[in-house]
Amino acid sequence: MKFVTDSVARCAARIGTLSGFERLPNVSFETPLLLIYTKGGSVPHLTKDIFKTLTMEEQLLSVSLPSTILMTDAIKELDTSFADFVSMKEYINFLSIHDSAYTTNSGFHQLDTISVWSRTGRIVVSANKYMEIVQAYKPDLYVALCDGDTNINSRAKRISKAVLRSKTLLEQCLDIHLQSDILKSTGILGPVEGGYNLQARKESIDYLKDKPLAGFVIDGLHNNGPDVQNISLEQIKQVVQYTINLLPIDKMRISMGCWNPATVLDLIELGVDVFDSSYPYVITEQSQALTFLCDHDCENNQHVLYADDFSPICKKCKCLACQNHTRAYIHHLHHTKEMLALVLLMIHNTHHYLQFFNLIRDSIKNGTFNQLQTKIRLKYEAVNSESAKFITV
Amino acid sequence: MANRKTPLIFEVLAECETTKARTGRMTLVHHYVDTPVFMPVGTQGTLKGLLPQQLEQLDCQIILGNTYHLGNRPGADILRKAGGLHRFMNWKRALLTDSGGFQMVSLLHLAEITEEGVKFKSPYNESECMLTPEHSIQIQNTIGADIIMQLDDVVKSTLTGPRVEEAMHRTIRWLDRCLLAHERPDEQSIFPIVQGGLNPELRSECARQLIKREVNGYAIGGLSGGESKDDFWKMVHLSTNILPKNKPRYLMGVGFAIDLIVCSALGVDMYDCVFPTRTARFGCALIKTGQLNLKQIQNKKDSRPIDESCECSTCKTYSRAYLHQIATVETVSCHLLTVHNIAFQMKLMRDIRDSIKEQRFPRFIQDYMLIVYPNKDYPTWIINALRAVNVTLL
Repeated sequence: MKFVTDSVARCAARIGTLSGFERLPNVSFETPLLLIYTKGGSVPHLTKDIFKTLTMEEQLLSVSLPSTILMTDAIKELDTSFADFVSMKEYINFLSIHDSAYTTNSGFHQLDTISVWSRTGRIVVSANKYMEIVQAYKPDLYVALCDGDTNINSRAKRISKAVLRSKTLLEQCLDIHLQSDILKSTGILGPVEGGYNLQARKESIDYLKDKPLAGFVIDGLHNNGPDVQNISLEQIKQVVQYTINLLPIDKMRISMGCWNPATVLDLIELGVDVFDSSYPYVITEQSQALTFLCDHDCENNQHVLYADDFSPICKKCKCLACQNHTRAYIHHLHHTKEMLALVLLMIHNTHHYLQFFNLIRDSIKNGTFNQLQTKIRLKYEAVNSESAKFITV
Repeated sequence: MANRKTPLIFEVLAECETTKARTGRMTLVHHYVDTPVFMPVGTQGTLKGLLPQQLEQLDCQIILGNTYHLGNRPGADILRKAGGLHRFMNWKRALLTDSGGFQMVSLLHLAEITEEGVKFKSPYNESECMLTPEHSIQIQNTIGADIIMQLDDVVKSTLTGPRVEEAMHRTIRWLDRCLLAHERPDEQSIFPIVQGGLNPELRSECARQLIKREVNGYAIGGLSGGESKDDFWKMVHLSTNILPKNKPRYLMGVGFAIDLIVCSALGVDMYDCVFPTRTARFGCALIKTGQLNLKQIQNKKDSRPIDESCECSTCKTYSRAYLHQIATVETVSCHLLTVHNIAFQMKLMRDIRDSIKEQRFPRFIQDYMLIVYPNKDYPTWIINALRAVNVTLL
């Protein structure tokens, strides 16, 4: 796997290319990149044939342990890979520890192990166990096991434990990684920990920066879940800026979590390259339809969707949901608790968010990134602009 | 009358030389329908998580909507503004709606049936409501399905005594009120419903009365509600003997593979049932020998698809082992099993139609029953029902 960027500035919005995957050598991705969030091996609510109608392009799927760890035995037994097991082998996949759409339980730390919460309860994962899982899954990219259980309120003691434990876990994972035949073309990513403490961030980067890593995950800023969309730039700016300034320019930087679109743009401006699509999923689960990119006169531009509004969510949207179905129908499906409501919202929201990333890349290339940023920021900062962001069905 | 458009043309393309089975094509306002046909149930204007284009890909030509549910939500007003259910849900092919009477009686304990209609307390505001035959047709006219059902007086299929006879006669009287109230006869066909419980005389009498009315097709109702299979097939057999051959016959609430095969041999053309979609939500896939419960542990390391011979997108893509992991956990699993189960029903009906066309339906029955009962321990009712139409099992 290789990452190339022609950016010379350390902390700025940049275009990069991610390519050289051994499994699918012709696939390449341009950054800033959106990883497609998956749960239990599928894009939530979408069967593969529906997902394919949404995007014909190559995609990089994000996979996390809580919804998949129970599959490990079967994957091992069948001597296959995760991508093959879940029938997604035409897509590149990226394995991380926690599920960005759901709040990770805090605590339950033991010496050099991490707790993963599956459907059936807590599973304790050591570096050895994790690397066994990784060798069974055979992802194209993965994050080393780490303790990212910190947020803006974490105390110094918790932060230093997180940094220390993550260091030990990284060393253990890397040892196994470097000896593994299976993983010799797999990229391992280093998690930068340290919460909101700059000194701790520096310590974390110090032990990571000379290691043979494919890139860095700026971890430990939050505990995942829907609350992440409410984190503002002011809270994270200093620590992210500081962290990125210490990271090598030529390596990719990833930030997981359902950041809102305005914060995504801010993070891109600070030099983050990769995000995941848990945001449109979380919005779908909140029964909302994204409209933050709509700048034309969406008729009936109220933020509540009416039962007799026979226009689509967005008249200019090319997604399957907007091309074929009305707000009235989606409203009805939602009120009768029909599963198709979530299917249609997920189609629209994912489409909207993929469009967002297309616009981001274009705007960086043609020098209009700041205009895009101003426009989206206005929608997210204005007090009474619910309708500009999304419609609640 | 000569100039009036017919909203239903039924052509019988082939008749089985041994049994009463036939295969044909119904031409409706929105789409044609090849019979015998299984109609998946899309109760509230959606078929459990599937998009209309997925149903088209599955070769569904007609689906069913429930008047009681649609009348409540979104309600007749919204459906009128939308221009009918077809446009509301963006389904371009044929639709059938029931009368709402069955749900009324089965869902609402407080329903009381009078000559005027079904009286019930609204589940929303406790107010007294009345569903009359006229009202049912009025809502169904608004929904705009290609085939609509008369309001019938439904009694529990195992009930006996004078109430069954009363219900049978009332059903006929209500039919006449429905036909009179029908405002879109050029676009929608009302099907009368043969009632009469498990009493052969009452059923025959009902069927004989109904065939005097000028309609485009008939339904057989009040069955598949817990009666013995022996009673069930006899009532179907007797009804199809009376109903005219040149009109489609719809057996309500039937959807198990075995029942579809036997009843097709008895001359039935249309079926509906919630079973294939409901069982999918519980993690079960339909296979020839019955059902495969994907939650069961033996699927955990099974890399085969649900059915190796199945052409559906689920079987072409996913393994039992993966479906085992997500069954009843992820909504995707429900969509995948629903796709398979509908594909299964569609394939079964296509096989039935093809074998009738090629005059090998009796052989098809024999082979299928042998797959389901490899030890030849056929249930008596199947043996008897098939014997009645000249088929002896192997």
